[in-house]
Amino acid sequence: MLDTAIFRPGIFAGKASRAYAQPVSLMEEDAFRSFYLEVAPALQGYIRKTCGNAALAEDVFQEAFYRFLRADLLQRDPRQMKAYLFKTATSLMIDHWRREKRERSWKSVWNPPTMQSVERNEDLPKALSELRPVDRALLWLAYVEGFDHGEIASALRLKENSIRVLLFRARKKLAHALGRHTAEVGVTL
Amino acid sequence: MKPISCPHEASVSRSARTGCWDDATKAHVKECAHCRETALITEWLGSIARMEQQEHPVPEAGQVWGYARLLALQAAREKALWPLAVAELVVKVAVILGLAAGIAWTWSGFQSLAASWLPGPVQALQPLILSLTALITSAALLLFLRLIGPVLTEE
Repeated sequence: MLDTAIFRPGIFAGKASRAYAQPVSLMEEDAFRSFYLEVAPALQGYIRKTCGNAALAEDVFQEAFYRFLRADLLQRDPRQMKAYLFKTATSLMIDHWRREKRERSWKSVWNPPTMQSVERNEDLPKALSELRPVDRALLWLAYVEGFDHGEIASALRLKENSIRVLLFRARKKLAHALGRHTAEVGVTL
Repeated sequence: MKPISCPHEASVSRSARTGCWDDATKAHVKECAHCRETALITEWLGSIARMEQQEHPVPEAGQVWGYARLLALQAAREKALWPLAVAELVVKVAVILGLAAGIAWTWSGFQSLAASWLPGPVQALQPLILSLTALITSAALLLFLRLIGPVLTEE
């Protein structure tokens, strides 16, 4: 599946990709390979669990690495490179959600929303799927990736001062959701 | 009621993520409800992340590299062909305008020619026939341009 998916033009292959169409040389393949092996699994997990949509996650993953390669950032600090990738992926997801929200609001004028038009979250554990995508992103960046508040704010296009409160609220929601699904996940908070 | 945050939160989260607990952090977690919750959430999310990595391996680095190179080549090609696309558009517009001007210029000549060639009953359809002739000529020219376009691009 990946073989065919990797070469099909993703949803970001249009305008967004062309924005990076200046002739910048791609970084060395070997250097990229070692960085990729270190970061790609974490990035893929973050994208998949934040957006809850496998097809979108695949597109975001590919586009994020493409933009990273075009930006030619290999010589930077590994943490900076990782932060850049997570920020790019988050921006792509946010743009997608905004576009989808706009389209849904237009469509709802003509057709009332149906179950099919609501984004599917079947890939997510129940407790996570009950949170908003931005809450999932907040929790994941803070507790799985260990990003500080500044890095989270930069990735999510939020103010650094607001992260503490938003994180607190997201934790409350997750704790509440986990409490209701205790039997399923085997965790007690 | 649990506090909104704790100064030890970052170190507790790091310990829960790596599994390396020092005595001070361990002792603090016993006292602080906020940090107990932090540890549990970190461990739970960490287990989901590990499961995710096992269930969905990432594509080969070479594939992602190849895809990026492919996109870069496409972008470079589009950029290189941009003047040719503009030239093609200009030629098309020039052909259409030239034809229109030519037809307008020789309109009366066409009319007299058609009057002498066309049989009596078809005379009434003269403007339609002239327009159709112009249209077919334009379409043939545009088709010719389309056919030689790829040859020019290859060159």
